[in-house]
Amino acid sequence: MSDELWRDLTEVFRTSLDNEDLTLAETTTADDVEGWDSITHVLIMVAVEKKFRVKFTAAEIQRLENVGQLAALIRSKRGGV
Amino acid sequence: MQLDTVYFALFLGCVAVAQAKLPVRWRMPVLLSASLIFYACSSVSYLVLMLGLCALNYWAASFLSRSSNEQRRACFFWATVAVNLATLITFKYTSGLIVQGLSRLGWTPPDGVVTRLAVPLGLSYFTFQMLACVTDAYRQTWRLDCGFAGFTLFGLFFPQISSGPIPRAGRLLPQLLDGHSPTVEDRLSGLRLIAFGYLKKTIVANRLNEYVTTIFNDQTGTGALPALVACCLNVLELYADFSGYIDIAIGSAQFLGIRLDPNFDRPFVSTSVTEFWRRWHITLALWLRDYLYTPLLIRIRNLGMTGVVLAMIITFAICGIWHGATWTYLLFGVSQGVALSVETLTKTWRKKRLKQFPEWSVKWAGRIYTLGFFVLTQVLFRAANLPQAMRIYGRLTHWRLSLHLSEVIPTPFFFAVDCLAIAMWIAVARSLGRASNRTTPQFVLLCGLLIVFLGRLGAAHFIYAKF
Amino acid sequence: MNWKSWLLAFLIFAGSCVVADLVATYGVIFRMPMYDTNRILHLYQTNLDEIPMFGTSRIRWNYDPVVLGPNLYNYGMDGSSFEVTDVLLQIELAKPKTTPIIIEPEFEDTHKLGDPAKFIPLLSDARFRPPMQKFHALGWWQFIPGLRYFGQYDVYVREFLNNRRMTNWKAAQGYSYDTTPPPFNRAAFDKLVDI
Repeated sequence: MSDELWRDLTEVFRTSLDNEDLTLAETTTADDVEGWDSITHVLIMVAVEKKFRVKFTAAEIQRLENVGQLAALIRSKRGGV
Repeated sequence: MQLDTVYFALFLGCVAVAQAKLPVRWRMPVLLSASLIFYACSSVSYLVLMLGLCALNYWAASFLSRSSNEQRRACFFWATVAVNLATLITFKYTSGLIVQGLSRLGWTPPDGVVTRLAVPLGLSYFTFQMLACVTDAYRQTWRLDCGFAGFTLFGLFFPQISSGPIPRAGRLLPQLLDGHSPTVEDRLSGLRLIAFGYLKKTIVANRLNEYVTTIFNDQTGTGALPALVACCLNVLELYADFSGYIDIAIGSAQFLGIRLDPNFDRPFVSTSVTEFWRRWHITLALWLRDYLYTPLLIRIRNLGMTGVVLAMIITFAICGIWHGATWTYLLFGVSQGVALSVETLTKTWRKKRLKQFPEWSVKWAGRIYTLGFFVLTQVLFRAANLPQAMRIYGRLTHWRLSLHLSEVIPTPFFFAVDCLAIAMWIAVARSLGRASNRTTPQFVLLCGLLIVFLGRLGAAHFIYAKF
Repeated sequence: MNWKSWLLAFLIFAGSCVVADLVATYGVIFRMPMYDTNRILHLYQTNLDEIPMFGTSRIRWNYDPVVLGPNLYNYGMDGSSFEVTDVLLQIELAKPKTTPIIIEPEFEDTHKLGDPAKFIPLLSDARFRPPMQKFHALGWWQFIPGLRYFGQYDVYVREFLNNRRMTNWKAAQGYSYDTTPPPFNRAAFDKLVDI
């Protein structure tokens, strides 16, 4: 389950950022990835929401600090359903 | 008390002495009373208003930091935002509207009434600062854990209260509270920055202002070249003026051992308007991004790229209107938003297309485009009203071959001195990068001599003081 | 902190300011006889039979005292308001004299001082301070040698260079004029004057 989520997440990031070699780690932040700015951040979130069929609140999106937290958030949302 | 006066320099000196001589636990109270005195010099009644706003925001931020009842938190948050914005709008726009309305009815109010309705010192920046605090507390990315005195000092900290840089509580508050003493390095680099700021203001901004004002107010002049020179010098003047102020503000804070966020990062090397706004008025651009653009975009995120463009244009339109309720500022803001949107939409396409050109040519083309765009849109920012801006744009399209040099340079001698002053500015900027603690006296001496011999007394204090 | 180098820097600054002040005052301003400052300084001499003419540019450029008589002196200055003319009048009235005075005051356009640069060397006379304060800015620095010309050094240098170029000008009794005949453009004349 966790591996699958991680693979899907990487896939979403690769398509959104147009970068096929992108690898993600728990601690990856926006500053570590080229082209990941405030605009693409929101577009990534939209893609993530679509892919995992979840809905984030505005505060949740803004509170995220790294990819690990995003994964945890997705897991908690899906676990809840 | 304006930052470009000698009274401010004396005031800063007194604060620094008090800070150095008194015991550590007195440092925060010293800064707080200095900030209160500084504000009281502008207006005592508005100081009361500001203290009231500080109290409200303190109360709201501490509630938002503690409470976990989401519904009540949202209520509190929006109520506080509304009060802050209502205060800002009331003071910023209604006085202008009242005066305008009265003059339309045929009665021009005396100067005394107009000044009494003036905007409280630094209210705009203060509101930004407070909204950031309350929003951070609401988003739980920051927690308020200091007393009211510390929070008031953060709100009214005197080097930055008049026009920024807009501080973030997370970075400024701890520095203000811990009361550490400024090092020799702090004092000396603060002094260097202050000297450089005064230099930019007096020898560049004040000098260029005379030239630009003459061309902008010229009702009958035609010909593109004088207008183009004036537009370019206008951008240079604005940069010298605003970054001069910012240098004095950051330098003064550093002189007291406190680091403020940088507001400019060599904006004229930007290769796109997007990059330009990461280097020009950085604290405002970041504030807009974090507290207006991103929340807005998140709300309309399902619209995809349309949402991105919409959010960008709305953000910059608000940024324009914030400067003043005029069509020129609105158009200025919208034009920035449109440029950023176009750049965002064409990003991938440009990346692919521009690959075939050498890197240096793309870079320089980008720089010329960015600067050209800013020079053109800055006309809106400078012009007193839309017809004036339109007149300048009209002149820019009016190219003539038979052109007398005296039209471009009405006073060649002063123009030559202006050029000398700009060259000196660049030279001093380079030596600022090389200056060390040991060479600080020489650097300050150089700035002092240049200010005395090349400086001008400005008609106005700082351009951004009115926003 | 290295106090010695700060002291040295301060001394160099103060020294340069004093030197610049002396150069500007004696090497530039006082060497332009037709500069307004020097024409005003002429008023401080008690010439018992002098008939002064006070006023604006209308006096300055249109009344040739040489034609009107040997004792007249033209004190007219560009852009001087009623307040400035009044100061000159007060200086004149303090003298033990009975000669007539010619005044052409400006009542309508009063918010003027003319170029403030010309008044800075004269500020030791307190009578000049109120108009300076009213129409320009009177700062503390204007009473400190060297600093007092802040913002005006290039104004003086420009004036001085212009004066050097005026070789065809003739000056007497406070009045000066260009002796070169104005260029006559037949075509422009015919266009304007329909004979």
